[in-house]
Amino acid sequence: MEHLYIDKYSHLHSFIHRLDPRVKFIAFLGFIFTILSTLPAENTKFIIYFSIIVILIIISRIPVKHFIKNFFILLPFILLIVLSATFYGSNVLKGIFIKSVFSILILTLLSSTTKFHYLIKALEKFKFPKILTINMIFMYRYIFVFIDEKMRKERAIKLKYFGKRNFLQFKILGNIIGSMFIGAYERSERIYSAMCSRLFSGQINTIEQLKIKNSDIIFLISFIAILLVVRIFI
Amino acid sequence: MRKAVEIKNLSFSYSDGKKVLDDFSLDIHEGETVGIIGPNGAGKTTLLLHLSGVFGKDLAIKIFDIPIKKENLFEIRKKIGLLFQNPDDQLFMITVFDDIAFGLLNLGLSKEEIVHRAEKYLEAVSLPGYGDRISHHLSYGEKKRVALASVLAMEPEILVLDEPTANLDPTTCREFVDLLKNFNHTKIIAGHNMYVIREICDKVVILNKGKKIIEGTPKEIFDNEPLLLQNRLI
Repeated sequence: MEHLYIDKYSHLHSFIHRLDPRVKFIAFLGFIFTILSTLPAENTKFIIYFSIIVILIIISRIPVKHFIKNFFILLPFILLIVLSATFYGSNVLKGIFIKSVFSILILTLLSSTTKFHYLIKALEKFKFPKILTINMIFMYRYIFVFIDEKMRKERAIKLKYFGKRNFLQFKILGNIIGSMFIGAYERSERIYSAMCSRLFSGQINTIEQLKIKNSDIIFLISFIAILLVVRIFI
Repeated sequence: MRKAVEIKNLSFSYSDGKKVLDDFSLDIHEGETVGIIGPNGAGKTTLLLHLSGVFGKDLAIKIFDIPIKKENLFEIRKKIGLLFQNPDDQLFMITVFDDIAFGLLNLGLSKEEIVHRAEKYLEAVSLPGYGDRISHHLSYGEKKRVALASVLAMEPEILVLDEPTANLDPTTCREFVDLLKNFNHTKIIAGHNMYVIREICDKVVILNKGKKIIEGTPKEIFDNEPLLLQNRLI
């Protein structure tokens, strides 16, 4: 079955893809903080930020439609934030909107150019709480198994539903959600047994596979220098 | 030849009161390949989970003379490699390499040894270079092989396989059987595929409603048609 993976384009080859995930993490988060700390009225800076994002997207070779698709998925959330700040005036609204859009573009760039497990390894390296990284590993591993199961159940309903007694469908839907919860619980028991049989004792360890190269350091220093110049001197 | 597994009068019920194993006894010697067959719900999977100490303390079972007790679980699980029926339950990490490394890290091996074993056993299951693959992207047959590699990499003395050829197409099933024949471990195989059991096993046990019905050579068992019919095996 076809799924929408957040790291769908992480197998491409580009300079951005080759960067160490930790370097990308620091650089891109630094970029987001720089954008967030810029005043809404500083239009020139926003134009430069946008140009940097466009250059990074071009270098990454990721299709622009992927960014547009991601943007539209997250647009309702941006609008919700913008609407909640309407009484602060149009300047603030514009600022929130632009900053949100830029942040989404940067995070999409980060997640699309880095394999998910390397992203997790980078987070582990930054001492991100283990419980969260483990949850992310399991979520990424099993969300598609769960979606496949949901699709199979939907198919089963379609085969038996003849288009009448719509109200009854809610009851059936409730039963299906319940059975999926029970299925997920039972699966978790089996996974736990599989973990125990391979000597799990409460701590999940992974092997460090990341290596920082000279090009990573040069990129990071140059990128941060550019951000500082734009932020302070322009 | 020393006893690899000794089960004496094992009885077990789940918390709902349903008796799954009833006074079950069996001796398996080192190097033997034993098939456990029986209809659905006979208790085969429960029996295999007992061998790995999943249900905790179990003085009715000894693995190489070591009784299953909390303080012995680490030692016992080092000796027993358990392959689950559904590879999605067994491959819980994102990448193939991380999955193989999971048990090896728990064994306390060095990074070099882990990388070496991962490569060696991926090669052994005919999937060289699969380390960086995402588990969810693999075909069912590939997942089965990776799950087997993750078990073999622990270098256990006893392989416990729960329906190893379930849901495999005939060619993949044939390849999997050939693969299993290559390993000299003591093997305990539960399943419904009579061809596989007949082909691989030295000894066959029929289990029905938690009870051992009979134990014999594949010829003795499979030539006894009334017995197979009586136990819903043909």
